[in-house]
Amino acid sequence: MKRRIDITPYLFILPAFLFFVVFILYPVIRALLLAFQDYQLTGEVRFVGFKNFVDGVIKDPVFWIAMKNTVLYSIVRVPINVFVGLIIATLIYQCSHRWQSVFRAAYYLPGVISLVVISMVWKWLFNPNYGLLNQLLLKMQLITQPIPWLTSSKFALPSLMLMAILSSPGSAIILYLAAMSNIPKSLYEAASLEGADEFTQWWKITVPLLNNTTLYLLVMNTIASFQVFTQVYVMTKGGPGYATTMVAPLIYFRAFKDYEFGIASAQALVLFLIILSISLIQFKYIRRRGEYI
Amino acid sequence: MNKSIKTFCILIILLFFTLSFAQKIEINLTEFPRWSYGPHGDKFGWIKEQIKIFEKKHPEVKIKLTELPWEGGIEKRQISVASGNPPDITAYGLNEIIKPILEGLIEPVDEYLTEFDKKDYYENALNAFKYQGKIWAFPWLTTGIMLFINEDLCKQRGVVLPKDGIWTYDEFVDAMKKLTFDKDGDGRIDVYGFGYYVTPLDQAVWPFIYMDGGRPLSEDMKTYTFDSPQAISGLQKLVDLGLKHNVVLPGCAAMGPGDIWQAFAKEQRVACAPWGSWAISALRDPKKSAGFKFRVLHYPVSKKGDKPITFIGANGFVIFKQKDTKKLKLCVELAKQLTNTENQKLLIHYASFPTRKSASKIYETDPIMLAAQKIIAYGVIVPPHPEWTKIDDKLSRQIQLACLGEISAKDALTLPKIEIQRILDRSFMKKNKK
Amino acid sequence: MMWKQNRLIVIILLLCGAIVALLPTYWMFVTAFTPEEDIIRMPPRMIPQRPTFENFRKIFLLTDPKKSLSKWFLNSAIVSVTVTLTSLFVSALAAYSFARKKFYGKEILFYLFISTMMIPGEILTIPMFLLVKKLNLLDTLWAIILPAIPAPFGIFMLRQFMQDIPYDIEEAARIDGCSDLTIFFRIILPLTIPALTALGIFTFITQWNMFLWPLIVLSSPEKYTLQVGLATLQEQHVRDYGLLMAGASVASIPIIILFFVFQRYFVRGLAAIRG
Repeated sequence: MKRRIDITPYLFILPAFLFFVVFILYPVIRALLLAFQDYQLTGEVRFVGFKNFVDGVIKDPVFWIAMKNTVLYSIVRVPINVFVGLIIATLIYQCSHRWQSVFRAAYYLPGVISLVVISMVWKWLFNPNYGLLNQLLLKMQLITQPIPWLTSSKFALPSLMLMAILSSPGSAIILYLAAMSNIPKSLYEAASLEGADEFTQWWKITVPLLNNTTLYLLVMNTIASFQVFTQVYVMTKGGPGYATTMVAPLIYFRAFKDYEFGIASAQALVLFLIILSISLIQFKYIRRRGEYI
Repeated sequence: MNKSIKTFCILIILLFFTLSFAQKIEINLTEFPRWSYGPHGDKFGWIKEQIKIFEKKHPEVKIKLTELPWEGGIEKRQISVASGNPPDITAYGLNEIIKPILEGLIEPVDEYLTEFDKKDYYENALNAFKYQGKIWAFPWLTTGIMLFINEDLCKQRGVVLPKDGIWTYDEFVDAMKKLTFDKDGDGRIDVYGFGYYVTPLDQAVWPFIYMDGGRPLSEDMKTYTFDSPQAISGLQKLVDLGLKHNVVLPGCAAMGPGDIWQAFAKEQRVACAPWGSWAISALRDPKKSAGFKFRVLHYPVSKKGDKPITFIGANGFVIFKQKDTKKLKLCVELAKQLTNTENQKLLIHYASFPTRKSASKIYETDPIMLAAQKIIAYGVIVPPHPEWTKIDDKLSRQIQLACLGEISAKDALTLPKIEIQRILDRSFMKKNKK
Repeated sequence: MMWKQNRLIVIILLLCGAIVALLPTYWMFVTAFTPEEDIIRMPPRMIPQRPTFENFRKIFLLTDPKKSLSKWFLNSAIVSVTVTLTSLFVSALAAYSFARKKFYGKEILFYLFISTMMIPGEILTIPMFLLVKKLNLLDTLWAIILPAIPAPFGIFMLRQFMQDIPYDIEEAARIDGCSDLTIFFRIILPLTIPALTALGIFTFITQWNMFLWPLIVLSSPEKYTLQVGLATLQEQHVRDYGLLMAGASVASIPIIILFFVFQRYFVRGLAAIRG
């Protein structure tokens, strides 16, 4: 029997792949190659092997500080955002259609506003002397001294984490709501008949069947979190000291303020490998539950 | 059949047009928003008019203007330069073009300065663009930082300011103490004498560190010298303002110019703050400020008789290397037009100072601008080292921590020594390799 | 379903959360209507005392015909709409293949797509700029549109969603002799509408709010997108917060409208699945 190779799958992917190769893969490879080169402003490039890695990664203490800050930030932000998104989506799903529309809009809309503006607003909220947060806390007598949110090395990074946590996980909620509607009601009916209470139903049926969405949200949030840029740039510029210095702004300023593209690329390559490793772990441990009969 | 003839004709016409345009020499000019010009307040109005004047004189030239926003504009220009797509002519400070100069991307302009130019330009304006013995831009304007003080608050608290604007550190502290008070009687201090900010590439508080003679780099820029006792004592004086004398808005070192402006100009919760000369016109704008009377003063000196010091920044029009000599000549002429006496007189709208003596009388009737002019006469520039951005970044962060009281002044200036010395050594070796 | 009795508590909880989430947005609008003289942070004002349209006037009264606001708006709209529609279609096709089909190189190809998202975009700026320059697309809207069409996150999201679509419907159609394309258009796509609308909104917003890349590749003011154009109105030193927030408000209105439009499709799509 002749085995014809089915080219349909490839055809479906072709359009995306073409754009991808030209506008993403090519620049990516060029950028990664730059990690092994010395780029002059005149455009000349010289191959320098691992020198950029030595200078920019191994021997640069600031890179490791930035890495530490970024990892800490991500460890807090990613799981909480995804989990909160799940909880809120679950709660919204319980409501009537009218309320669902209201809350969907309410929780998604903040994401519509550009991150720059949101960061400016939060920066004002965190102002130690007359920002709203301190004013409220002082009035409610929960604190006696104003908290130096962004003006102290100790509080700066936690403040950014707080901002991330209190920011509405809009897209997570929308996606979870969409995925929840994919779950047939019959499963819940069957479980009810077997005497499972509502929480068990949620934990044993809903959550596992949302694994695909959860995986997507975890990976995407991790990528976004490791590449956090705007908040740092607008609110603290990496300060005080190096307290909120993160990897992505560091790379950016290495390239465009210090004009050291090779080193910036080397640092970016390292960051990439770290994110890739974490994502692979996430892919492995959140197994797909396609069939559920 | 008809259709293809039509397309063919259109193509021919297009070809004709592109060819006729191709004959024009195109100059790429990149500029930032400046002052509001014309009846509608176009911030690019001045440069557009200059372009019209030039194109009229030279009909074979077309000048393409790229209007940059302040937000992100500097990065965009940097990326253009780094990707081999630089503008032909644009305004820079010397520090921004050190690396391009070293790569041979900039045209030196010494040979284009006439005898009149050389005499007309202030000496420190020309020096502000001198590197490795050559001049790299047509000087245009100078700005500088100085201390601004709220005269209404001074009157209220009985503070007498020095007539010539020069005061010692102790006199400064006394004044600040008087200006730090509880306005509404609730037991908490509402108004602070001094407020400042520490951000990379902004030397707003560096004159304090320079006060006792401390300098970041040696004359030949080969050695790190900021850990000298003089520098440390200077920084200590700055730090003491907040930690010992309590006259500083708490946490301001980490806040940023925007917040301090709000506090100083709008809410009057800070009596004195360092700003560039641009603040003089901003403080006279009822939209940007609460409209109080103000004065500009020198940064305090260590002891009576010392010369005050401050930082200046000079901007000049830079021409990127041209292959076509005809185009180069046109660019030079354009740069000279933009920086001629008449145009420099227009800087009165931009609250900055001309670099030409022939234009410097514009502020004769403005006492505050005159005072500012006197202050920046004592101005120095940051060391024109190719790796200055890295050095400044490390120092700014440590200085910030010291001002917040998280590390000592001594640590702030000694901790970065090893890193910075390494940067200096590597840079020196690189220069020699070339 | 759950907690029918405690429905009121759920709603109250959600309302509180919504207020917290919307607070920054609310302040943005308040500041947009506050005259420049009044923008003082202390005490923080809940409601503007002297509301004004001045900030909006400043934006709309741009006089230089080249800099008209409507042109910037149009440019942003062209970019956002084109990218969204094309990207959705292209991504959906690819996602279907990854979700349903078995073929050689599937895993590797998919990870290749995904992994490129993990590179910090900043260092891609120069290679992408050089590429766009080589393709002679500098200072055109194509320079913004084309690189945005391949969207690995879109393919990823749609694949995950499609994986959850039950096989039986598809199998039935296959037995009936439908080709892959028919199955894709008639069955898969309609069932994916909630994810498609979510992705569409997200893509549109991302493109609409993009600032740095359009700034970098454009140089003629009449080609500027909205975010870039609005930025040229700001001064160097004293940030005009009223103007800034007014600009942000104006920029966000079309997206908010679109969101409500998309919502309807989203809901209809959800109903189709449940039914």
